[in-house]
Amino acid sequence: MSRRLALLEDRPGWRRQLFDRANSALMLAAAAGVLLTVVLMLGFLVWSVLPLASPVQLSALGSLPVGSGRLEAWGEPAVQGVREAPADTVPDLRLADLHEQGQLQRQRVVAAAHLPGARALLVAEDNGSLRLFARSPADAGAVLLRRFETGSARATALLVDPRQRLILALQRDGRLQVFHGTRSELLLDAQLLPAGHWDEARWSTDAQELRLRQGQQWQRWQLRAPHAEVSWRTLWQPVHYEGYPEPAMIWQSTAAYEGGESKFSLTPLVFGTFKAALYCMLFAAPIGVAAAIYTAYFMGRPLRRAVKPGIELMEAFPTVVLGFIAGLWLAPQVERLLPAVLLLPLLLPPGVLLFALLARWLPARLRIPVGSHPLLLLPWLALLIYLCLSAAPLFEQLFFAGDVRAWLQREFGLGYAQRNTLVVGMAMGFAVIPTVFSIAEDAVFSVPRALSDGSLALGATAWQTLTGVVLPMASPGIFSALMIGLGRALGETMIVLMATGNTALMQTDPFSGLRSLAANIAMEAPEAIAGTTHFRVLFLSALVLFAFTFAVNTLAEWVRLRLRQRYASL
Amino acid sequence: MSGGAGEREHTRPALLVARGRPLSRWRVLLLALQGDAIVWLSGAAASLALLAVCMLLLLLAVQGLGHFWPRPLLALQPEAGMQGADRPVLAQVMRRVAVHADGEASAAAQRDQVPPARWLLRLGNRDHLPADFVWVSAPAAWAVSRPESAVLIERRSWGPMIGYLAPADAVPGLPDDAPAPVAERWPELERQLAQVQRLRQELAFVEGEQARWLAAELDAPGRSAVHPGTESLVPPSHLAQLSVQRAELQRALAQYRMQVLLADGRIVEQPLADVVRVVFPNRMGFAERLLLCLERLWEFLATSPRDANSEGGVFPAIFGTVTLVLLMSVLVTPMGVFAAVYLHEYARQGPMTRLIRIAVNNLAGVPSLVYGVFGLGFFVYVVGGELDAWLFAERLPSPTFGTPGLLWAALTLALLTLPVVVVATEEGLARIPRSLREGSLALGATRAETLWRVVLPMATPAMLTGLILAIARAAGEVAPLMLVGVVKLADDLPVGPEFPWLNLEQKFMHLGFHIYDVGFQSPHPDASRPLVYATALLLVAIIVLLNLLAILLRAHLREKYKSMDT
Repeated sequence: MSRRLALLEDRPGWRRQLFDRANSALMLAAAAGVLLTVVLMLGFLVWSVLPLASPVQLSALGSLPVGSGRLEAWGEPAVQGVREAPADTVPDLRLADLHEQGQLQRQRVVAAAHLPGARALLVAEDNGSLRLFARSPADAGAVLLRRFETGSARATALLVDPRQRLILALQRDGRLQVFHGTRSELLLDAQLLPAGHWDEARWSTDAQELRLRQGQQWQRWQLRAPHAEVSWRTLWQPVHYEGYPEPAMIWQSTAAYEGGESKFSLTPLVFGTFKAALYCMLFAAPIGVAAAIYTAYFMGRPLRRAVKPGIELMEAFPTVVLGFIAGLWLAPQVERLLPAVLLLPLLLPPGVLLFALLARWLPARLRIPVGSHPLLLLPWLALLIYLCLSAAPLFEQLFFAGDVRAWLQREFGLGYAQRNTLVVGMAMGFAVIPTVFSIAEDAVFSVPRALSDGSLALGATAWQTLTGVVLPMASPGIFSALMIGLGRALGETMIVLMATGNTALMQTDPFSGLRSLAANIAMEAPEAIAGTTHFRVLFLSALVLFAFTFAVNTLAEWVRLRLRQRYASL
Repeated sequence: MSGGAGEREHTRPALLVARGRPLSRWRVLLLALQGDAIVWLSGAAASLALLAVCMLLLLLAVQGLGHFWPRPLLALQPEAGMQGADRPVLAQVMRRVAVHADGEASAAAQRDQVPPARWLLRLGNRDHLPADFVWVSAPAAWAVSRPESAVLIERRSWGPMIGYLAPADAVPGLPDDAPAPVAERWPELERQLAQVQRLRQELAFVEGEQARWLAAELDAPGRSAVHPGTESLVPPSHLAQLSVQRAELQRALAQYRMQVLLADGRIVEQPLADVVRVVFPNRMGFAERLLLCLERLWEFLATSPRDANSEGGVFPAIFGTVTLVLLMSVLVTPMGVFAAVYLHEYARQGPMTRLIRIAVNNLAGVPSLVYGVFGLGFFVYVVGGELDAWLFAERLPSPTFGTPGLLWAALTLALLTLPVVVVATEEGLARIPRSLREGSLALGATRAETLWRVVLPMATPAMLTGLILAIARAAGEVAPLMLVGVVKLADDLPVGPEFPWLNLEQKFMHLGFHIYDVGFQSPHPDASRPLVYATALLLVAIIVLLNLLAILLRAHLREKYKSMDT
């Protein structure tokens, strides 16, 4: 070292200084780069999502004299009066049906048109009401999907965008109201013509352009409503979609039929995310924390040095492998051995205690050495689980009346999906246990030995010392471990993707499938076209995921720091 | 307190008194039991976790390695009363599942007192049979035999063929009645297979040559047609010659065929050009099996997948994973290490460093998929789109960098693993005693010199640890890659003969994604399942090894600086 440094003296001083400065700048730049990355990530996600909230924009394009260009064949003409769907589609619902069912009076209808897909009928009446009907799937009757908020306007003509489900309601005097087929809110209300009436109205979906003819002049406007189909309400609250008997929260990003509406409700996805995470924690929290307590508090040092990396090795398993095993191996096994799997949590603790009782009767010479219980328990547990699993048919006869799935159906009305939340909980639990274990173990281990020794010296039992001294001291760390585990479970993708049926349902029971935000993004983002509403909604769900994990991790960190300060004096 | 804290036995007498009053016997027992119970139950949790790890490793090892071990071919007689097979069958037993319900036990099983079970048979011959995998009820022992002439032919398409090696003039009939004279036929067949192998190599060369010339012509369209002889890259005659050669080779290859007697008595022809290997599993000794097992293992590691990814190897996936991870390492190491150095060596601990630390912590907590979304939106569409507009405008609208690819995947993973490197490096820097730095500075070295000559060399193991952990994490990550560049089948490796020898814009295969894709989206799920287990085993082995390496390095590091700490 000294020789090298001596050699440095040969270099001129200014070069050494320059190198020093440049070096500092480089290090600073790298650190700033890290910060910038986070800001960039968050900023970019927000920037990609923001257009979803952009209002509908209308800009005037000037006017054209009649007869210039191919104007006459241009765009869709406005519907005045009743226009049924084109001949090549079979509409679900006709105006006559509504009239027959007493939903409206035919003579009061000013204009009526089908929305794309011809499943929903839009009706404007002379009292200014604008309503959307569809056929109810339950009975043959028509059901009112929504009443648009028209206010004082009295639309006389309707323009329906054939692709976007955009509705342009025009009044005779040129007052324009813009709606979207899946929302009842008014998106835009504008008085287009300063005076007089329009004679003809046309809309081109390609150019997003509205033209009104007044005498010999066409007035032109451009209407930009790229993401009119989503709003805060459609994303989070029930929406009455066509083909459904009542408002529902549904994620269905591609329409089931041509011209149908895409259903972007994030609620079932958020629900699925939390459901998977909670079932996972149900599995991971007790095992992770209990294992951590044992390893840190009871286990001997040499064994601990082997066991801790052993459990932490679980973290090394790629989640894609866990997901694959969960989906293709565990799910069929769980289905086959369901009775045993359901009873296992009830049977294992008594089994372990039974072993403990047996161990008490051992002669003193054979007493179990301190801190080696897990090694002894390993074969016992394996045996217990094996016995329990092979007794599955017996359990099925004894407790579940011969058929566990029929029993579930009868007693609780639950169906059983092969790839279900139970399987995900187990597989994801496996992935989360090491995270919880590792942090909780550090927390328990870092409780000063003097404290627990003092407690023991004062005559407390191991149990009293644990609950009275060690756990309160370690609680911030354990809480932080649980939160970080939860954060990991929320963001987990591959396991959820592979081990659930990815059905966006909202059922709380463990035997149904689910679809999480992350799995949804992984499935749909590669196919989503950049810049579309679908794409941006997926970005939004990534942002929501980011926000959840950010909140959970920050909470964990905050609690850890707070409680660490409290115990700092120790 | 027998088990829990045996060493603290001496505390017992004091236990009998609490708050100045002696405890009742019952209460003492309860306390002792409570303590015991928590010790045992928490111990059980620890051992349950360990058990799960062991079981998972075992499952992967058995299922993954079992794929390479040649299974015997069993001939099953139909009169054994199997449900699911009404003709003689020659098959490999893939799985045996015990059946609990008595109703399903077959007549044969009841008669011969075989424990009721169901077998998953691999019949092979996907091109000749309606299904290549069937479930049957377990046959009686007498109905099962292992004919010597049974042959398993691994093919390039349609999965394996399973049958008996038939003589040229074999008569259809029950296979056991008409044993094929394999012994005489086999050397001839072996010779032919060698010939076919040679022809195939030639064909592959010719095809490669042809593709090269055609690609050259695509790059300079029309030149060969307009100026033959002067500027021409491709003499048209050469191309024509190549295609003639190719056709000849193909014709020659097509002549080589073998006849195979199927279990149901049909004789089918199999072109030898499609044959990878001919195996007589029932005639093999242990050593031969082991050899074949190793050969298959090598094939798995070193060749490309075939037959819709359900057969063959995973070499492109290994290559893609390694390339990706190396590229990622190159990107992440400087940034992560320098950021850690700044945090630990340069910055005054204040709001700025706290902010950076929060940023790093949060980066570590962000779900990997969010990185993928960011990578797709920012790197691919924004940066890639801009790059295309500047550099590759002539290729638009077909994107060059504006589509998911290797570079973007590596960048995304670099972001993902940044916190791992930063945290590990900082930890290593913290372990280096202050006195060393101070000594260096006191000798007149600048901070940069101290850093590069004293601190960083000593922190190398820590940096390596961080890098290895980062690599282990990156190698197992699939979700973000699905958005930024991984594909189920890439014909070409992302390397090229020209600078920079790495096609950064190309899509690639990845072990993790291969597992997902083949496991869940394969057209032949039963046939490809063992391959997925093998791939999973490979991936887990790589990652576990990397992690162990990191753990060892870290332990080594701790030992090294232990003496200097005080």
